[in-house]
Amino acid sequence: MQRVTKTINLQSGDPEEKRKEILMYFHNSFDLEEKLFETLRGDDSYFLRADPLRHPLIFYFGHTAVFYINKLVLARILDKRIDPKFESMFAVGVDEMSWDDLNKAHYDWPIVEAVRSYRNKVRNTIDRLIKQLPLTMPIGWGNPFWIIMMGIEHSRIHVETSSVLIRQLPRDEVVQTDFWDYCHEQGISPENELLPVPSGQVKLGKVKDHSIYGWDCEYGSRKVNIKGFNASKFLVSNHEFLKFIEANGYHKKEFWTEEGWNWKEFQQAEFPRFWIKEEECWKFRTMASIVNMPWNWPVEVNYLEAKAFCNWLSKETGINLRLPTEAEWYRLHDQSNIPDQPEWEKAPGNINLEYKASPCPVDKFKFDDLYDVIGNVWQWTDMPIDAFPGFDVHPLYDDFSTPTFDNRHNLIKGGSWISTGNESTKHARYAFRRHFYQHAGFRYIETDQPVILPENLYEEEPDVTPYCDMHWGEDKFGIPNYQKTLADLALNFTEKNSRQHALSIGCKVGRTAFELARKFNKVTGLDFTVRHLKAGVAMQNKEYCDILSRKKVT
Amino acid sequence: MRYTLKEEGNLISYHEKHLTDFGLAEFAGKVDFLQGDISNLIAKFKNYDLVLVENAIEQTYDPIKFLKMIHKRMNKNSTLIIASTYNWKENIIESEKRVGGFRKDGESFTSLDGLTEILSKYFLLEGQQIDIPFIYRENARMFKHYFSQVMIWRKKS
Ligand SMILES: [Fe+2]
Repeated sequence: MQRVTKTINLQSGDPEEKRKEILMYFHNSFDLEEKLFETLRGDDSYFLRADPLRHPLIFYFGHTAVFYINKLVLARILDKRIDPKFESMFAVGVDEMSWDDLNKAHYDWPIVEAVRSYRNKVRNTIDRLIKQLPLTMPIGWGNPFWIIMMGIEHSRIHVETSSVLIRQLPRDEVVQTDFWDYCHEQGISPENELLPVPSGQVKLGKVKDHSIYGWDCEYGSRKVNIKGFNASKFLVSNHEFLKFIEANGYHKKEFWTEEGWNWKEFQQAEFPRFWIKEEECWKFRTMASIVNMPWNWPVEVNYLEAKAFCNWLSKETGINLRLPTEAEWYRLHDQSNIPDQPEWEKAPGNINLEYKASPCPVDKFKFDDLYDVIGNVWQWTDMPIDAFPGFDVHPLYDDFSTPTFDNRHNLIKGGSWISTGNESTKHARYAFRRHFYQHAGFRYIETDQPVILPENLYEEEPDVTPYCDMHWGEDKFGIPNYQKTLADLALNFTEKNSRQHALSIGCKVGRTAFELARKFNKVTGLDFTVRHLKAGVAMQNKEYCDILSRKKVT
Repeated sequence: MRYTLKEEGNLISYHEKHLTDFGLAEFAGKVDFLQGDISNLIAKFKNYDLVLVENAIEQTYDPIKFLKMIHKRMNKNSTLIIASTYNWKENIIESEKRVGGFRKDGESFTSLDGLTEILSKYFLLEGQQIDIPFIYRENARMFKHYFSQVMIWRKKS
């Protein structure tokens, strides 16, 4: 198998060449997963719950194969299931919302051999489909090969998340294989410093005909003007983080957010998840080994710990420090001139499995002035994920992103050593609950700009949404929009010289008021229920008025 | 603005609308949204050239009080438009505070009668009342079809 792969250009190329490329990408992805599971010591290891909040690894061994079949059946590309029982049992992971959301459900998991033989059947089926399905270029959202790519990229996400679960298994349940050998370089951590990043405008989001596969949340467009800031030259290393521990940071409530403190108290956390304290000596857990503490590797923590560290260091130094937002990360990326994954010859950072199977020193990969702008470990941002203007769900995977648009899932950017495929591209947008552990650390920035949380979440109130549809939805049964009809009537009966101020009573989600504003100098929309007004106010958000942001994804 | 809609059972769909889709973006700055109670409208709401009441009198607890008062908040020669389904909310409006839709002195007294009786003291009716339909979507396969009655009144000078 090929360890280093590139995600596929879906916009151009000869169809038959493309077919071969996708076939190879598919088999490499399938092999990569099996390579990962080779690190489990024996069959029993598959059934241990590495994390009390997640399924055991056997689930993930079956899940990615089942995903192909379920999506292809949903898309009506396949008309026969392979094993309906498996395709139900392995379909849905645990949707952990809280750190005490214990997964207590009892499952009667099949033996490893049964799952392996199921995987082989799926491999043959997908192999045949890739060889036989009609392939036309370009491959867009509606193309059957998009669904194949969805399955491949989905499996690559799980290679990464499963590697985190393997890292959480007891050390003697895993074996260190050559393929997954870790970086042997370690040493003294460099002194971190703040370097200037000039102001500039960043453009977030992908256009619909972007050349590579993307998840729904990556599409759309948002422009943000970034004020210049200073960024830490290196990701925060284990050594730099140690100072926070030594300053008793895990016991000082003042540095933690309320959510962070509650998590810390619940977990009784004293230091990062993969640190091991052996008597007076610090050790470190890689995916499959225990090694001496690599002080110059990036620290891996959850958002809550990263945030507490920034608050502590701010107090310590008297400088305003925090994590970058998503847009500020783009600014770092833009000024570093980094080619995106499919275009690089050799990865410019510790990413895409192009080096060793672990983080490496924070001063190994330089991008202009800063290190590790991409790769090594993911970087927590201070920004909860939301949809870009122009967002649409993919009809065959409508719960990939939308459940995370709740201001409780923060974005990570940049990718880690094991991020491959879509994960290792610039526009990848993954978000996790803030207490969640991934191969993720952080860099801090100095700025006086506050973080503005997303406000454009979905209106979901059952007594408001029908009015959103009535005011702004398509006409139904040939009946023209009621609010526009009323407003037009009003405009017909008022004279030009007496259109100073209109009062729209019962304005609900605002259509009538906006329609009246075509001719009136001023319109006041009045409603008894504030919850109704929220949607009208949201319409005035500049993102919904900006013509350039309106490029629909289809 | 983004919203979800109920399709069937637990299934929902996702929607995003921009003012630009409706050619309204350039007017957005002229609109203010405020919470208010029309049965007890605070003094700052005044000096209007148009008051458009969209299915609100049947939802407020003292519609008669509102109808008798609103002319004071309106400019000379201004226009009042009342759209209503006369679907008087029983749990909100006490029966003696309803505008119409009951027997009075033994005869039917419609909401149209009630509105006309109150409003003609302060306004002149422009033309005839008209019926305008609208649709309220419950889910993908269930819709309510309403007819609002709409009257246009000109304030007496
Ligand atoms: Fe999954």
